[in-house]
Amino acid sequence: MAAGPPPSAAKGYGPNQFVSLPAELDPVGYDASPEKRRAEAERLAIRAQLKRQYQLQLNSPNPPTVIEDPALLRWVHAKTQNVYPTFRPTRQTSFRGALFAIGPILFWMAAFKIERDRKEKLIREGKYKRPFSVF
Amino acid sequence: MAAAGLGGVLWQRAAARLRALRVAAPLGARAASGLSSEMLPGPYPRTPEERAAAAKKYNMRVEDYQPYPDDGLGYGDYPMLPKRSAHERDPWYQWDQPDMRHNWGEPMHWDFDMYIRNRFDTSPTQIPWHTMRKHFLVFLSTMLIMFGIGQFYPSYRPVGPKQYPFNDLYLERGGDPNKEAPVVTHYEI
Repeated sequence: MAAGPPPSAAKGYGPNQFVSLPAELDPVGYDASPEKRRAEAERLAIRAQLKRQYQLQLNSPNPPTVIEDPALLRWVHAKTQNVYPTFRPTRQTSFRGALFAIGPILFWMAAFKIERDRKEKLIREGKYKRPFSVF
Repeated sequence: MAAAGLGGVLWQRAAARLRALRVAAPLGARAASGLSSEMLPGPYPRTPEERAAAAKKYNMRVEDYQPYPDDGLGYGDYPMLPKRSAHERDPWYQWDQPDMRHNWGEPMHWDFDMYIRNRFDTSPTQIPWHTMRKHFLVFLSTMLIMFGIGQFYPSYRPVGPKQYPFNDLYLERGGDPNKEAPVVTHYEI
């Protein structure tokens, strides 16, 4: 009985979020259709425009002290100031907030209380040997 | 001159001028710095026009622009870029920022600071990830199982208590030399 076609190299490799597929195995790279080439050309045009803007600022006779990168400013803004306005309490976020924000506080409150009560009981019963420490 | 101080005429005039300027500025205006609010990230785009505007804002094609799903986690309209680290970017291309391998104005990944070259590396490995994981888990589990078995069923050569000469070191342990030492034998015939 003849075996089926061998598994594709990409499947054999198995990329995930920790490692990506090498470009040589990526089937996306095998296709050079006109749509893909047009898309690549548009991306290249955007990249070239940005490069031109940057080079104009960099090589101008009176360059600014700091060439601000709008992508960097947007990234910083998104991670710091845009989180609270776009946050929305859903089931998932409420659960995570309760688990990771309120949970540890309650847990440590309970842990310390139980530990202190246990030690208090031992001391009252006279079973606890006080450790001697200079500090 | 000293009596003028803060209540003096010049101060009052300057304060009045500042107040006039503040009133004259339109409502909602502030000192301009950095990017305007249209250029900054905003809420999740709902209509196609908002998507197109967001793609243009982030210097991406409309087809390439894909925001994070609207789960209320705080991403807003920030684009979801592929999870590739800086190690995978071409080392020979003339980047505007060669150490970050990043060009001016190019949209940065949300976890950009994790994907720099000092940190997480997603470049393809010589051996597939699942093979490496399997080998590692097999080795780790074998070692742990063997250590566990050895902990519960220890196996070593038989030992007995240590035997000391000279009647169990009678004189060395402070026994009276005038008295007769108690005879200690460690064998049976």
